[in-house]
Amino acid sequence: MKKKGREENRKASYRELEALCLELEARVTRGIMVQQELISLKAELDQELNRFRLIQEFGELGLFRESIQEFGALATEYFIRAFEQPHALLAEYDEKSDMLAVVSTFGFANTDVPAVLPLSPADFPEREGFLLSQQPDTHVKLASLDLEEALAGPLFGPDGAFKGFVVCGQQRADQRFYNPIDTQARHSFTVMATKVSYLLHNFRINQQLKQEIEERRRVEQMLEEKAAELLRSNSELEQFAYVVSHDLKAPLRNVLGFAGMLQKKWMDAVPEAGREYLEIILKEINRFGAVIDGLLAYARFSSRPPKERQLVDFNKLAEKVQAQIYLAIQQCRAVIKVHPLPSLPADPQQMEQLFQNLITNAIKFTPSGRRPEIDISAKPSGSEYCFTIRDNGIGIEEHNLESIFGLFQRPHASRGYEGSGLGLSICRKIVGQHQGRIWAESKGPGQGAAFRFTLPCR
Amino acid sequence: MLHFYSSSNGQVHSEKAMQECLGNALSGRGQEVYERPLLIIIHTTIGHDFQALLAAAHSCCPNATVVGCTCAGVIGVEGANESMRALGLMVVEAEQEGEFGIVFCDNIRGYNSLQKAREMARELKDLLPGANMIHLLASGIDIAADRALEGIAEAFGPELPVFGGTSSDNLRGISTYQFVNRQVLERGAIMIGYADPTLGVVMGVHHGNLTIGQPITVTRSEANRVFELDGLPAWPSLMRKLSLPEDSQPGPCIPVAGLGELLPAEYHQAYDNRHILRAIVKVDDAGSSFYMPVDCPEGTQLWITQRDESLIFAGLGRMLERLADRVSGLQLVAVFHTDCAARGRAMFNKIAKDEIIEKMQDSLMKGQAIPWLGMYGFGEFTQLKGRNFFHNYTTSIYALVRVEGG
Repeated sequence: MKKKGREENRKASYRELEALCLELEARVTRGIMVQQELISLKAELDQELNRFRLIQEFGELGLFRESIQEFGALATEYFIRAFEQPHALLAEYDEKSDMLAVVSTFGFANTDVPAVLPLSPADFPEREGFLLSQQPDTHVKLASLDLEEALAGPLFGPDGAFKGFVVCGQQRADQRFYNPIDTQARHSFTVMATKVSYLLHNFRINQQLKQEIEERRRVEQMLEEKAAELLRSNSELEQFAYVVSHDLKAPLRNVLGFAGMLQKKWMDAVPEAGREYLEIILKEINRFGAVIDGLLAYARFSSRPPKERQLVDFNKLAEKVQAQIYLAIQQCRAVIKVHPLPSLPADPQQMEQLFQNLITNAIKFTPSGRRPEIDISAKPSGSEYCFTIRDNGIGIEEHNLESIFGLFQRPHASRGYEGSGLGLSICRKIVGQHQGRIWAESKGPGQGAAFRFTLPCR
Repeated sequence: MLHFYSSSNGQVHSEKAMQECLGNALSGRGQEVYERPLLIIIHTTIGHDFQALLAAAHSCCPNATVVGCTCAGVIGVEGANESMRALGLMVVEAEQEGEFGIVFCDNIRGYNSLQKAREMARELKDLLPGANMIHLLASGIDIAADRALEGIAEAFGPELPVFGGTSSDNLRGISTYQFVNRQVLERGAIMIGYADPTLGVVMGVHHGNLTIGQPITVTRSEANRVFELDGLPAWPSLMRKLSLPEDSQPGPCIPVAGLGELLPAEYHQAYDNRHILRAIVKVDDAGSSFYMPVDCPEGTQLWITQRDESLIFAGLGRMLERLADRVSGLQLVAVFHTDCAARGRAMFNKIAKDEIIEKMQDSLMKGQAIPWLGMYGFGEFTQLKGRNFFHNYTTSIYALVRVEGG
């Protein structure tokens, strides 16, 4: 009895032990599974961290792309890296054409990708990334990409404007090796898409700025070239004018000398009509001489830079000029009123010439019978002074206000008055050489005129 | 004399990835090196465009021989990369002709592994009679790796060191690929023979799993195919034991479904473990039987195993110490490295994995820049006490050193 009882006890304890062993084994295998689940969770966390590291890296590199193609290639490559998918596509929206044009693709070598995606901003009421299969309409519209599943998302810029679209996913054949897309990745996909859209926005602004700068540079360069060309041709022209005038002077002096001798010694032998012709000849020679003198003066101003500037007292200068043309003033009983004028750095001789030309013109172009009234004043204007010499002369037609400063320009109204047509050209040259501007104002013929010019204070 | 140069990257554009890798590996070697008859060994993860990689390699180095295989991740001096598009390569430059040679075959399976390996080994022996080590890269799905090692031993004898690994995909266990010049094979094997008398290889191998519970007995099998365990259909019964669905695919189960097999006692100390591990990569279409990477006769006892964190780290440390002792005083030339695919992100988080890789590289390189090419594969060919073994779930290091005249 005792022996049997012991055997039963032993059997019972063996069964218990076996059960215990099985329980322990089961616990261990459960432990293995829990451990594996934990490892999977850690792996997901690693993957998410890696995505954010890549997004950060992309943000830094994306700033320095030279072209939109380069930017697109970088963006699609980083989507591939971050989301471990075989295909990615980036499209940019052009508001003007209302088209979503494909900028860059990755992994679509065996797929006919359209140049423009048949999507519009209205297809994206939400800003978040989404699984393509969850938006059947969009999935159908993108059927040509042959994507079985993908993460997709609209791109909205910092200004809230729709910028484009990005998609990253797998085709049916890829599912052999690629795991199903993790829906948890939608959040980081949205972050990455936002990064892309902001960079795309910045890229376009930078590009626009670059283009504007480029255009400005181009125009500036063109202007510089034109200015240099003008300077060169002016200089050549002035040199030519100087040489021509100088060489014309000598034969003209001979003609004048012989004509004078003819008038003095042989006048009695010349018939009445001949004497009249001789007078015309002498008059024309003098006029021609005056033109040549004008040309010479103009050429001289052009070819020689102004002398070192001195402080010129324009009150004294006005007095000096009035003294020089005293006879002309007296002859026509001109009234010249000089308001207080400033003292400014300038070439005294050129300023003297400028005042003489302008005052003489004011006197000269007053119709006979009218007493010339000339008013000279100056007003500060910013960093310069603006001088005005106003007269009550014949006035200037509006269309001639600018042309009168050209060489030999004599408006129709002034044809009855003597002059070479060079005085105002010389004035413009002088003022230009002093970094100033000169222009004329007139209400029209018979209304008088005002000549204004500026000179810098320093 | 052979010279080695390595590089790896995570560039996703396949052509650029290859150009960048070759450029980095050969930087400072001048333009003419690209024209030399180099050997380029590549490891790539499954997402790259293989044809584009191979075309780019040939375009950069028109006279090179290009070989390699897919893996679950590459390991280089730059660290480990298990993304879908990672690339690592080792460029081998020979001073003289005939210092390396390659042979390859296609369609190597469990049933013909011995025959195919024997033929290749004989071919290699004819091609490179002075071969003093073999670098073996083979299909990782259904090769009988121990039979392949026997085939090599028949031609070269059992002493010739064989190292390398079997290719893998991204732990899905669907397909793995091997590369020979412009060819992409799906069930191929490549033997690279090195015939440099100044070169030796020092190997280290380690795994960190412990067996648990009672053994399971193989009650019906045929070569490397196991039909029954303890009288029950093999795969469903194993899945039940692991509390996994019976219709599970083998790939995702690799990290937890490692089986232990008792090693002969003389190897216990060298291995730092009593059991050698086996990974199941293929299950028959009916989901009933499974294929082991080695022959598994009836009566074989197998154990379910569990990874042991302390053994993983402490054991790795001990293995590295032993390895460092053995290479001490020798000039380290290059390191090849095969890690089990399950020892990557399926087992460790990034920080732990980086720490392990860094530990391995630091203890061997000691601050020097030594070319390093590693892969996460399905299995590892590594010697134990001078005998060639096929392993799973291990870290296997193959340190190439100058043994004479170096």
